[in-house]
Amino acid sequence: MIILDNSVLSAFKRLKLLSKLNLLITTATISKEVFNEYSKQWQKKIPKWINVTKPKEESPFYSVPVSLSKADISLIRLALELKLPIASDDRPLRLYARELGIATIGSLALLKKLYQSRIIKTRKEYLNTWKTLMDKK
Amino acid sequence: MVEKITIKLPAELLELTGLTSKNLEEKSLLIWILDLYADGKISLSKAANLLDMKVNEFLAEFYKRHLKHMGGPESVEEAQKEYDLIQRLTIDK
Repeated sequence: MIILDNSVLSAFKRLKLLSKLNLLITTATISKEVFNEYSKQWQKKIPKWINVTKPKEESPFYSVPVSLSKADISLIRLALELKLPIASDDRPLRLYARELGIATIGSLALLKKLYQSRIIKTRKEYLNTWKTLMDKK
Repeated sequence: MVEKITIKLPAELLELTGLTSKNLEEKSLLIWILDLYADGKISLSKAANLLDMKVNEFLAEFYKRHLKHMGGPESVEEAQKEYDLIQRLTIDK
């Protein structure tokens, strides 16, 4: 299981790879705040394999970076609570997560794994997707 | 409520851009936020929040200017570490 932020969730949605990601990751989690951003953005429901979870802990962090949003912080809380890595391409979120001992994964690693697992079947498809991701990350 | 600050810009910008003071303020904020996001100094969610935009609207503004986002792993070692992690997480699949 993995926690998804909006940068990765939206990138895979744009690339039409969410169903393929599900073949790699059985379940993923997002927070209510990320769900609100995502549903406002795409006006769609979230796939069933992505759970919307509310963190139990509401106490404030001592110093939250100003570079992060409320939705980003909700993911940090979830990651600490569930002891799961966060999939994100956002550098400030990745840095803060790692400061707190949370592992991070970017879209490129997920994409490479999709190809290595033959979920993305051809090298051409992999490279095209990779290029699209790099151009519009 | 976000605290606001006042900045001064040359009045000529109104004539040059054809914008009103209000629109110039919004445009200036957009340019600042796009720049901060491109440099990887704020998250996507934060950028959209600061502009009171949907994430996809913000990304549309970003890409139409052909900007590049500094994101993801910062080194080959970091990329490899992330790939190793996803390998371990999916080892039973």
